[in-house]
Amino acid sequence: MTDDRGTAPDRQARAGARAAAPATKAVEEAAGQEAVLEYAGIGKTFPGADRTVVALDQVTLAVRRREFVSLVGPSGCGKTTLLRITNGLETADEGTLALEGKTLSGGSQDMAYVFQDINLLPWRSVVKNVELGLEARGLPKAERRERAMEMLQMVGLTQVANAAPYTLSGGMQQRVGVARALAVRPKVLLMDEPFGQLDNFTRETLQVEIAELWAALGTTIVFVTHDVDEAIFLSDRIVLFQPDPGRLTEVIDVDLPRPRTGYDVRAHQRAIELRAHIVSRLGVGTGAAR
Amino acid sequence: MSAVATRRADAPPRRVPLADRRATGIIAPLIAAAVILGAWEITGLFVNRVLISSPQGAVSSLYDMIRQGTINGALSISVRELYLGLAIGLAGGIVLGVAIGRYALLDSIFSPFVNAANATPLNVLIPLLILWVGISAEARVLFVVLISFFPVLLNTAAGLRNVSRGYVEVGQMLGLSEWQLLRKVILPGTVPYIFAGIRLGSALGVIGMIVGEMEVSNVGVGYLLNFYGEGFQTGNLLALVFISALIGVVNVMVVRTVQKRWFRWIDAAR
Repeated sequence: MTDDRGTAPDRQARAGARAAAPATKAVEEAAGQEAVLEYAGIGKTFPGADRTVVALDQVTLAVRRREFVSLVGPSGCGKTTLLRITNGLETADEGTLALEGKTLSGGSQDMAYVFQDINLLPWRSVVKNVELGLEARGLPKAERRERAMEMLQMVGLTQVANAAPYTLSGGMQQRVGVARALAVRPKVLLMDEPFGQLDNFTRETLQVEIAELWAALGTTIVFVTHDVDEAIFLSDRIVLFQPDPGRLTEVIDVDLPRPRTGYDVRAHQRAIELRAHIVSRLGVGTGAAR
Repeated sequence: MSAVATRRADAPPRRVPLADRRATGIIAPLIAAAVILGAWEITGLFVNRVLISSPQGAVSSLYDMIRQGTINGALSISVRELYLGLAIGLAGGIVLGVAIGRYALLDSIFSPFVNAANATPLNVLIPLLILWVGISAEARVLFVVLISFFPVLLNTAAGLRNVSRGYVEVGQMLGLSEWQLLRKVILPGTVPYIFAGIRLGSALGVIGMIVGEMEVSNVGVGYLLNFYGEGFQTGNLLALVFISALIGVVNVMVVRTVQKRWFRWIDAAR
C-alpha cells in the first residue's frame, strides 16, 4: 500500500500547493492519489474576554483515500479544532471543506469520530452503544444487531456485548468507541487522541490493533495525537501544527515499510531521523512548544 | 510466579468478613433505637406524661387505633389522595420540565413564574383552593399536586440543560436527528436529575398531604392530628407521627428500588 506510492512527492511542491487550494487537487491527482477530504483555507477564531485565540489560520490540506494521516502538534495548535470542524462539531469561520469533491457544511453521515473521553452511554449495553449510529440511519433491528456484533468481533469484544459500558476497562471502552464509529461504515474515520487516556501498555496494544483494522478495512483515517512515536508508527503522512495562531507548518511523509511493529519502528534508522526532525520542528525542549 | 506470591503477601488481610459488617449495619441502629427509647421512657419519670407520653403509650395508642379501624380509614384516604396528587404533580413536572429545559422560548416565558411559585410557601394558596373547589378531596389533591410539581419541574429542566456535552456530541457525531437526540441521549441523560426531583417532590407531597388535611378536611391522617391534638392525646399523636414518617420512608424506598432495579447505571456510572 505504501510501497506503490513510491518516493515521497516533492515537499516543495506540496508547500506550494498549500498556498493555493485548487492546485492541491491537481498535485494529488498528478501523483495518482485521489483526494477524499480537502481542506481549503480553513480559519477558526475563538473570541475571548481578554484575548482572541486564532485556533486555525488558513489551513489547506488534502487527505487521500485509504490514507492514514496524523495531525501532530503541541496543545493549542488547533489540531483537535480542525478534526471537530471536519465532523461538524464546530463550524469554520473561513474556508471550505469537501468530502469526495462535495462541499460540506455541518458534518456528514460518511464520517465518524472517536473521542478521547469515549463517552459510551451508560444506560445502554455495549452492543446497544455500537448500534446507536445505525439507529440514526434507520437500519432494521436485526440488521443493526448483526452489524454491531460484527464490529464487536472485530475489536474482540463479543463476550461483553451485553455488559454495561462502565464495567469495562478503559482500553475495552475505547475499543467499543472504535466499533461504534466503524459500525456506520464511515469513509473517513476521525480519531481525536483516542489513546490519550490509556496506560502505556494498553495504548501500544490498541495502536497495533488500529493499524491492523485500518489495513484490513481500507478506511481513511485522520488521527490527532501529540505523541510523535504514535504518529510515526501509524501514519502515512504526518501534518505538523504550531500554535498562536494555529497553523499547518509541514507535511511529512512517513516512508517506512508496512506492516510496522512497535519494535521495528523505533529501531528503524529512518524512523529515528523522522522523529528527530519532527521533534526539532515542534521545538520541543526549546520552549517554543509551550 | 514470584509476582503472584508478592501480590498475595501485599494484599491487605480482610479483617472484617462481610457477614460481620452486615450484622454491624443492623445491630448499630438497633442499639441506637434502644437507647433513644430507653431515654424517652426514663424522661417520663420526671416530665408530665401528657406532654411526652412513653414508648409504651405510643405503641398501645397505635395498636388501639389500628384495632378500632380509625387509622386504617384515615390512612387509606390520605394515601389515595397523596398518590393521586403525586402522580399528577410528578408527571406534569417532568413533562413541563422537559419542555422548559428544551425550548428557550418556553423557558423565558415560564421561568419567572415557576421560580416565583417555587419560592412561595404554597400553603398561602389553601384559602384560595377552598374558595375554588371547596373543602374537598379535590382541594387536598390539588395541594399535593402543587407542592410536588415545582421541584420535579426545576430538576428536570436543569437536568436537560446539564446533560454531559460529551454524550450529546456522540449523538451528533453519529448523525442522530433532533428528535432521536432528545429521545435516545438527552432524556436518558436527564434521568438522574428527574430522580432527584422525584425524591424531593414526593417528600414534599407527604407534607402537602398532611398540611392539606389539617387545613382542609375532616378526614385523613392530618385531620386525626388536629383531633388528637385538641384532646391532648399525646400517645395517639406520636403514633400518627410514626405513621407519617413511615409513609415518607416507604416513598423513599420505592423510588430507590425503582432506581436500583431499572436505572442501575445512575449509581454505577458516576
